[in-house]
Amino acid sequence: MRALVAEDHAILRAGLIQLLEAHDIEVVEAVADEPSLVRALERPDIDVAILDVRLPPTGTDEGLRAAVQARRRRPGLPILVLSQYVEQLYARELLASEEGAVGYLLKDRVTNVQQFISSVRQVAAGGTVMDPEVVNQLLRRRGARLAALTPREREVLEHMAHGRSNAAIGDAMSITEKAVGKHIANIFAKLDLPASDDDNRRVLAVLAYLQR
Amino acid sequence: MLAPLPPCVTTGFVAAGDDGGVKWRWQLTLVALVAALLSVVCLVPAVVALLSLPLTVLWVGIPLLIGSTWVGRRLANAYRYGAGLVLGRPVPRPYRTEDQHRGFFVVVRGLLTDEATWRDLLWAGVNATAGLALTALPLVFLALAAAALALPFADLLPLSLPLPASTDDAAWWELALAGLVMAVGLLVAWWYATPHLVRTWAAMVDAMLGPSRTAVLSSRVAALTTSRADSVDSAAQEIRRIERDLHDGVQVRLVSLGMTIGLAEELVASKPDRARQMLAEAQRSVTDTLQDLRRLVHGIHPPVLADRGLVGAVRSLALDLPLDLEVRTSGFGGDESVRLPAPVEACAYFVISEALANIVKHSGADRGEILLELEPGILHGVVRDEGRGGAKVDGGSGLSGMQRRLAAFDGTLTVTSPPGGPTIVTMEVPCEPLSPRTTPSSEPD
Repeated sequence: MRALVAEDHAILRAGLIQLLEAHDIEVVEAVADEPSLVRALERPDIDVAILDVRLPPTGTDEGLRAAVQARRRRPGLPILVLSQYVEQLYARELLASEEGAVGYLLKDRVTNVQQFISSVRQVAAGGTVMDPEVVNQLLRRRGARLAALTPREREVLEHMAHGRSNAAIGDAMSITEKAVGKHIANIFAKLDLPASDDDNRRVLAVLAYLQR
Repeated sequence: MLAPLPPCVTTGFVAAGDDGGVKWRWQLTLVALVAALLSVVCLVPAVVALLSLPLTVLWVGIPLLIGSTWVGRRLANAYRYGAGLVLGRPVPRPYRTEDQHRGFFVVVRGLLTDEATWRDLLWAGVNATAGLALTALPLVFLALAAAALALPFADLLPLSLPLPASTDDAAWWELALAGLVMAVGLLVAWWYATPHLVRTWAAMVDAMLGPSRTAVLSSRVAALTTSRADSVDSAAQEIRRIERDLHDGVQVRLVSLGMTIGLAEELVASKPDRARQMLAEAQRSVTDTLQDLRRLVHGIHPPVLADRGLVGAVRSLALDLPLDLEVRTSGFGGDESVRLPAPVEACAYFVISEALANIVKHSGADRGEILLELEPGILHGVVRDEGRGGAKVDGGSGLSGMQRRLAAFDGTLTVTSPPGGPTIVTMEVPCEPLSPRTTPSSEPD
């Protein structure tokens, strides 16, 4: 797998490259500012772009803007955005294109190497990965709407919103994949969402529901 | 829905515009009439006050001085009111505010040392001359016009000629025509001169009876001194809080993290399982510390505010809260990219954030509205909810803190919150937008 990395702090950039290459993800280019990122995002040979929200020259949200623009030109281009903080506003903007293949994670998550690498692979494969912080905020805010769900179903919903597959949810909750499927069917029926077998479309439906 | 913001309040009928017609000129003339009549009356308390000055040595002067000043001030206030009507903005009263329950002597000393007392006396003199001339002219025009119209009758009566008999008389018609022409000329003069005369008069009242430049400046200095002291105070408190948070939070966590890693290092050979466990613990501790730091940074200056400016940050805030919030904006440009000076943005953001936090904590409402409106030179912010109301800006509340914070920018905060709601928090801050897409410098991530 070939990755593009955009991060302005040299230490973090080197760390990310080391981390990715240790897990058989080739870093084909590493950039440190917005103009080089915009150019690098045009490369046809990247499977996933991992980028920081804040980049020079102004150090505000260049990375995010570049990501949203790049995906407008190349729909479905897998992009994983890393940030020191999460904002619902940014999550919304990243999810607006509805094609999946997008991730939004706190930089802290890099410290959990296994999970981080699995998130990178998931995004590269067209999945949607949202930081637990984003999802938890949404769940807090929309708590009242989820009153109809049992505690078990809420837990499944939370895992689903994080972008986990049925198998991963089953592992995390120590239940069978079949039981997970049943819970999901119940959730979709209770929240009146269109059922779908596609993992990614399901995640997007749940996130869209929570953001509404 | 929010009611549209009320237009700028004007107290005068001049707000009708300079093209105001007959009615407007009649109103001006009426003001002039009252002013002209009062100008002579004004002389009385002024003369009494002047005469009572030497008499204060004998006790009888003191009540005379107090009484005449009291009357004089009321008359002057009447003038301020009239001039305010003409100018379309109130003419402020410059008098020192006096404490109640003070001795005669203190009151007299207060009166004598108040600059406004002497300016009132000067005004009485100017008013009886220049003021009277300015306000009497429109009346004179009207009176002469009336006299000119009555000219043929007035001319005929003293000659004792019977009126009906003279109606065919050519000379009488000539006279009537001349009178008519004169009356029209005088009315035209009234029409054009009145606004200028009365406005000049009002400007004179404003200049002489309004607060002097010194008074305006010294009250401004007092306000600035207070708001500066508040700003310095709150900045110092803020730094204390940050210092405490870093010291008690982040630093402690890092120390314990160092200890955990050190222990793990020792155990790695003898008890590798225990060492792994400790490293996992260390990792969790790192995540927690980062969380603490994020919270701290957000409290100092929310990153999204630096990224997106006030509108973006408020939208983001609205998405984070467990409320249905509608955010409406105007004047921030099509893509809402118009930026304000960073200190104003931060202040406005924290005020709105506080108002929203109050909705969550106290109002019991589950929805609300935010309006941000940027007009030339001023930013309006309104936060409204349909909750139970009864919010107050008092001593220790967050809102009064916000009021002080706003005062540093000459901003104001008002709260209307009748029991039963709705609660409307309105903020106004003078500010000029920066050019679009000029982002303030900030540390890169």
